[in-house]
Amino acid sequence: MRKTWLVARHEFSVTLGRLSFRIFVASVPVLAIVALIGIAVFQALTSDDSSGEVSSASATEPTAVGYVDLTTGADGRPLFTRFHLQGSTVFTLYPHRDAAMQDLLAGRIDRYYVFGTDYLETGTVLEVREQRAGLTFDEGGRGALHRFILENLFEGQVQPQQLDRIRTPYRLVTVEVGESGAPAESDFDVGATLIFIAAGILLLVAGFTASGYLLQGLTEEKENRIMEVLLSSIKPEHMMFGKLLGLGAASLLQVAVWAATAVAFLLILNLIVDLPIELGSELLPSPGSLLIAFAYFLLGYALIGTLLAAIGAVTTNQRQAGNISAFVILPTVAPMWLLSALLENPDGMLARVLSFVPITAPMTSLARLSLGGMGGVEPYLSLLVLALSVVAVVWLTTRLFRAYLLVYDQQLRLGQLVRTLRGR
Amino acid sequence: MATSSTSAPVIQATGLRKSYGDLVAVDDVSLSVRPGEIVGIVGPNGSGKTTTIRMLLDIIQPDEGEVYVFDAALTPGARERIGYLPEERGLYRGLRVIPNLLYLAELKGLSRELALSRADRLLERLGLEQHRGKKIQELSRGLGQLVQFASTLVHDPEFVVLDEPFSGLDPVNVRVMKDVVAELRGAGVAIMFSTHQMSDVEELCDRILMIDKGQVVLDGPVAEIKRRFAGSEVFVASDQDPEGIDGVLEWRRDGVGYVLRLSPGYAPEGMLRTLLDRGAKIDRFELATPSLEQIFLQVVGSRHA
Repeated sequence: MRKTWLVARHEFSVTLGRLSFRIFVASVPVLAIVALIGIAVFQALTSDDSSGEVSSASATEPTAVGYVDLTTGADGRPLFTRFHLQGSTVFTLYPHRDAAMQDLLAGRIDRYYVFGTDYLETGTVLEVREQRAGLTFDEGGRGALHRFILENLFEGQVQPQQLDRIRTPYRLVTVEVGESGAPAESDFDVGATLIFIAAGILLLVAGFTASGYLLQGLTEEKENRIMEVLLSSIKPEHMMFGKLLGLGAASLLQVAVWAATAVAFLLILNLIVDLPIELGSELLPSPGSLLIAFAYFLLGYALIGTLLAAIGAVTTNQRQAGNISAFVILPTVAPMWLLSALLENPDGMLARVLSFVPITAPMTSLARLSLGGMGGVEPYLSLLVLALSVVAVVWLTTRLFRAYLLVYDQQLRLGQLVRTLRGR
Repeated sequence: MATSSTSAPVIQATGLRKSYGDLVAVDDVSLSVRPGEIVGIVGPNGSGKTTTIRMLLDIIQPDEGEVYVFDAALTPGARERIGYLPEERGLYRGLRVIPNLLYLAELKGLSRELALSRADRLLERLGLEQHRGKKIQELSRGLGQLVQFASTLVHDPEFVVLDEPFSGLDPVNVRVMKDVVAELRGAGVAIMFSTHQMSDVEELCDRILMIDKGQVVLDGPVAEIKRRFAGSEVFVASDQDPEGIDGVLEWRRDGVGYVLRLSPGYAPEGMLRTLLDRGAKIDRFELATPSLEQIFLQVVGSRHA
């Protein structure tokens, strides 16, 4: 056990010392920081202080826009005579286009709108503004214009609540009913959904990263011939467990860094742009969901890692190992290709079968769990099958470790491989 | 500690057999090494030397036979008392010298602190102290080999297996390594030494085990084996030409004298008497012991003829 820990510690520190690993782990925080800076800059350039509208003007200074009103209402008067202040946007009426154009060119207004005589029939509004070089994100205070029009057309004409409905026609609330017609209880758990999706992504990225390093490390040790020295000090199975543990720990560290980055990113992003979701306790998954996600992650990693370790043991160089590892990697990610089918019918036959095939079980089950499509004892049975398969694969891999770790220059032969697995 | 032929063997193997498919790599090999003894394991390429060594160290498991190390089956604790320098050298090329030594020493059961102090001591003994901070890939092949030698000894093993330890080394480093091996023998360490260089075997080993086609073909003390193969030849430094002397089958000049191959049934004592009877003035008369290389060629050559 002590030697297993020594190998684990060695693998952990060697992996952390790899420049490629450091860059890979740091890439997500760096990207998050760049994204936050980008969003903050964009927000500073385009923010409107109260409405969230975008404008080229500073958030603290009112934006002056002009308009020319050529419309005629039912009472024979122009339609747009009131509500000139919309947030930080001030609408100024001009008697004709020339006057508005003069102020636009003089820089006294940011733009002007022309409501033509046919506005009511066509809804057409002409916007005139100065040409700007380069790429602009100027949406020209459309929210302010929207409210200016609505309030002038309907304020005092309809009830305030009706005006609210004109502004926001509906907020959709969906109720699902059971066979009896009674509302069905919703088992949708935002936190669980997020944790299952996150576990799936992390299993793919971190699991394959660690397994890749395991494969690389094993083939390196074979190629640089240190394997024989190691095997004179430690049993092959202890070495394999040590490698799985050490690289798993490195992988978990990577996961932790990325998860912390994600949380910090959301919290900071919420400060910058006021996200439409509450970052509260309802986003926290239940302990049960967390445990299931963690179990799938752990067993999934153990299965992939052990299979790739077996490949590392029987192959003689990294190129050969890389080619053969496709036989493990492709089935593992196969559920991603079938994602649309799984999303459409998370409780269907295909989804159920893939949840019990060990190599596809982690990704399939995590996808189904995120949709609430896997209930009752099914996750536990799937985990049991996965755990048993891990035990079997570990047992077979230790045989391969003993037989193949010192095979340096021979071609891999399927017959010999099968005989070794059968203990002959 | 002196060599003791009466002390219990550090390692004892009986009836080792290993086959790969139809190929029998090792067939009924038995051996033992005692404290303070250097046993040379020699044989042509592919004769089964490395397979035998790997079975002794439990790196591969024999199909038949038993190995006892320190009077018991090889336990994890016993592994920690063994040092192994394999023929195929290997260290972590991207790691520095000290981390390499520390890791391998810790796998042999040493604490980090003890491993560090022993590593420093060994590096100094081998003249490598200025390289302790370098990565293995920055060292020459010979220096890398010395570091590997250090990794074999860093945990103060009681049984050391050296597989072709001098290959690729310059004469200065070969001398350093041989001196260390001699010190180990003096300290009572049991050493098994595999090589193709018969001169090294003659210089260092107390006993040899010659393996060919997986089988032991010679086993015993070096001097005794040489005596065994010396019976039919004598070296004579004399004033007489050996041509026509009764009992001489053939002869050849060798330095200041002649090597006479005696006819079957003719003993060295009889040849000495014959020469004296002929009134020869004899400066030297001794059994002409063949070199181990000659013995090797004779034994292995006859099996491959």
